[in-house]
Amino acid sequence: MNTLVLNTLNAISYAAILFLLASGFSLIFGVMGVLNLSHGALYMVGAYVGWTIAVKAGASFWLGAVAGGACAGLISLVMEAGFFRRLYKQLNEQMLLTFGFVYIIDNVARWIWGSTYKAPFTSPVLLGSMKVLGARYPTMRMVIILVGAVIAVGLWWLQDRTRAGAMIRAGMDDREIAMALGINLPVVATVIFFVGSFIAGFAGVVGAQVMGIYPEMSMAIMLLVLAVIIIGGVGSVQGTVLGALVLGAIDAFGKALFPDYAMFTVYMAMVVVLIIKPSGILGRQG
Amino acid sequence: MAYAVSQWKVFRFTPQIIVALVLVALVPMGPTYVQSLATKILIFAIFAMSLDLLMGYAGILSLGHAAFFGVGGYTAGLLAVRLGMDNLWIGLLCGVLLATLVSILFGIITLQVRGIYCILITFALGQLLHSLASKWRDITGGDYGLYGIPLPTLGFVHFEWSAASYYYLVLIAFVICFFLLYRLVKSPFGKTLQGIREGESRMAALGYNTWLFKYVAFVVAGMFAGVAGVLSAYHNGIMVPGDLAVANSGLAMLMTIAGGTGTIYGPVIGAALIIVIQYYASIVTPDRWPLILGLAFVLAIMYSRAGVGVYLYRLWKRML
Amino acid sequence: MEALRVEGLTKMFGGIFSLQDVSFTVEAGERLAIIGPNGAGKSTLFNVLAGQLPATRGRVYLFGQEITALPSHRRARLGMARSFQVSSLFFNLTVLDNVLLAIQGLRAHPFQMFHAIEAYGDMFAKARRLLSTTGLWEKRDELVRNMSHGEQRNLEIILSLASEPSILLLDEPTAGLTEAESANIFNIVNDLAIDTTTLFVAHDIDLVLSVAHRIIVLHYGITIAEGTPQEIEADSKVKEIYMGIKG
Repeated sequence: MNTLVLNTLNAISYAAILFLLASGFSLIFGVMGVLNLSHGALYMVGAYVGWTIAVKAGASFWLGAVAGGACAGLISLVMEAGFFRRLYKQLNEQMLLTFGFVYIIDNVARWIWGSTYKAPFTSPVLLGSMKVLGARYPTMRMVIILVGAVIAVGLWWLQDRTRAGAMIRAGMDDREIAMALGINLPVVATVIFFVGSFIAGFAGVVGAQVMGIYPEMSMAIMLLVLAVIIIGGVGSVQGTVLGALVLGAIDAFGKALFPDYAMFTVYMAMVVVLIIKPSGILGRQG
Repeated sequence: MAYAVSQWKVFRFTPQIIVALVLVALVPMGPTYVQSLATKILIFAIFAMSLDLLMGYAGILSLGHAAFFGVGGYTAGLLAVRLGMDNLWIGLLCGVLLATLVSILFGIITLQVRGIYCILITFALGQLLHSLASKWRDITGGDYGLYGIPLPTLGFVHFEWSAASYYYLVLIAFVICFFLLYRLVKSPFGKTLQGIREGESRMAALGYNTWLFKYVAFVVAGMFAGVAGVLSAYHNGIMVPGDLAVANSGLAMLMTIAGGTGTIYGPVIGAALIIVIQYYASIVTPDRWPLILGLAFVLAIMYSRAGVGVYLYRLWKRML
Repeated sequence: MEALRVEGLTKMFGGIFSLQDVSFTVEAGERLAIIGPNGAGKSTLFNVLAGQLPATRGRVYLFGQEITALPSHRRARLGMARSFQVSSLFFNLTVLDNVLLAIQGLRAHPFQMFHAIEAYGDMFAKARRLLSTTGLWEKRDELVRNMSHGEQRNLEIILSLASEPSILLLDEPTAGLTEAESANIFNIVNDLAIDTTTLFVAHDIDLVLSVAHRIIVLHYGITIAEGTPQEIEADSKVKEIYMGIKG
């Protein structure tokens, strides 16, 4: 019973991290139509910034998390203002651009922070464990679950307001109409991009409590995001939550049952969903 | 009159003649590293051309194209290293066959979805194979790679390879691939792909089974990528999981975009450009090569609307 | 002979009806106009008939054969052709390439890989004939995206006529055109397809009244009137709907 509780909590806390990761990506895609392949790199930068503040400078962990988010958001501002705006409506080109940015961000990060692994770190307050359903479980992970849940609810509320976002996206197909409706398109795009990237950077620090930081993260993280999106479906908070939970469960129970093949169970799940319902379990067709 | 015409003909084909001279005569006369570099360029040219068929003509973006490259190379490598079968013809046949089988499977999965989802799925499938190559240590050698791939035997004659002679082999392969792909894109099939890229619903309304055309393009592209992979395996003597990774697909994509998509010669020029830059970067700043690559990628997308290859082509046309 | 029969066609998006129980028949050689205010479901009807959208309920029969579940390209092979309200041309290809693709459509299969397209002489002759009706033959090597709106609309019509269809669906063929250009569109149709069964959607009432043999009026996805131009002109329900819309 104890193991079951522990594994379930592991699944949920990992799912919370995955959700934080994927939600920013899904938000940007849902509203702007851009697949930001550098999302994983932004996560990594956030983690490094958080590490610099929390570990190297010894300041507050949560300050580091916010700073990580802000940094990631700032980078996204540069990307959006400097590059995406000039490629209005060319979604393919925008996405390819983000691919190029992965290399740039990744390499600059390596330049600044080096190539060594940074061990998981957290706020001193969160060390230790608490009693959950009869088992002892790290407080830090419970907080992760809490943070994930809060942001999930927040985004879900935003999504209802972002039915306006869907309309804005339709308006993005026709700038004149959107402008005539009083919608300031460049501002909306920038804001959404910033919010999504902020969440990524923030998630980087939150996730670093469990995963640490290593230079090859960008692509590996991107793959996890894609797995969540592919399984759960793009375009809705519910889909991202579902995808994250499924992946979290597969990872936690997979590690417990088949320790050598944990990663494969993720891939298998992805391939199965791709074959049966390519747009994801809760995804909309096309 | 006849004299004037033949003079005009030579003048018109000057760039092709120069290129041919360089490739056939000049390269083998230089030091070994020149042949090695040229071989690498030609291998990636085949790889990039195959991607151009997919991207530039059919309009399907793929970040998982290296999967077919890798499958081709690993197959040839495995045959040589684990089974002692280092015959070139068997290696090519099996490598291309397996690459084609994988593309037949991946094509079905990828083409289930439209447009931008394709990129997600190709990304995921590519990384899947990468991970497979990395974890399946017993067979593929894991992260250390499948090393010790010998240069292939020709079967009917005993042959001692040199950098120059292997270069000639790859050159012949390249010329054949170029010719085949060139004819392909100039055929009704090629035009149809372009139509599908420009307006798929229109094409369907005109009676074209667009899925089938895209699928055939996908599989053919996978085939040619497999050829490049086999040649690469023998050339490098090793295959690593990175050969299957998204990064490798991205490299081919950069070559295609920088050289000019939707032309068959563009990716060739792009390959030459990128590989030369990579070579010098590896000497001067090996750690910063990914940064340079990323910058090149961003610049290529922002500014080379047509691609270096196409600029050169237009320049030449103006000189005529 | 009955060319097209539509029975109880219904299309829903989410919970909203775009088409509700639409039924009608079109005789061979007939010109049927579909009119109605914006949002009436005219384009949706066309997209369902052409196979781009699946119907939620109902059936469609083409020359007696049920085509309800057939994909677009199969319908094209049964003789259906359509034009699009927003020009669906191959903008980065030349005018000639556009027409050749349209002509080749019904005979194409993926394994014709190794002959250059120039080898098909009869297709060229046909392309010349088609393009000459609108004076576009001289501009055949120009990229479509460099052409004027009027020229693009003309090309749009030509593409739909290239396959010599048995039934033609024209979705707002005169959208955005001047009166002279609009008349020209129907001249092209008259030149190339005067006996072809034609369904068309149009907003210009005068044009519709002069060209159509029969008219169907849609409003919020429901057929509210059907008849000859004279009957429709006199219909009070129709007048009510178009009051204030007809200038």
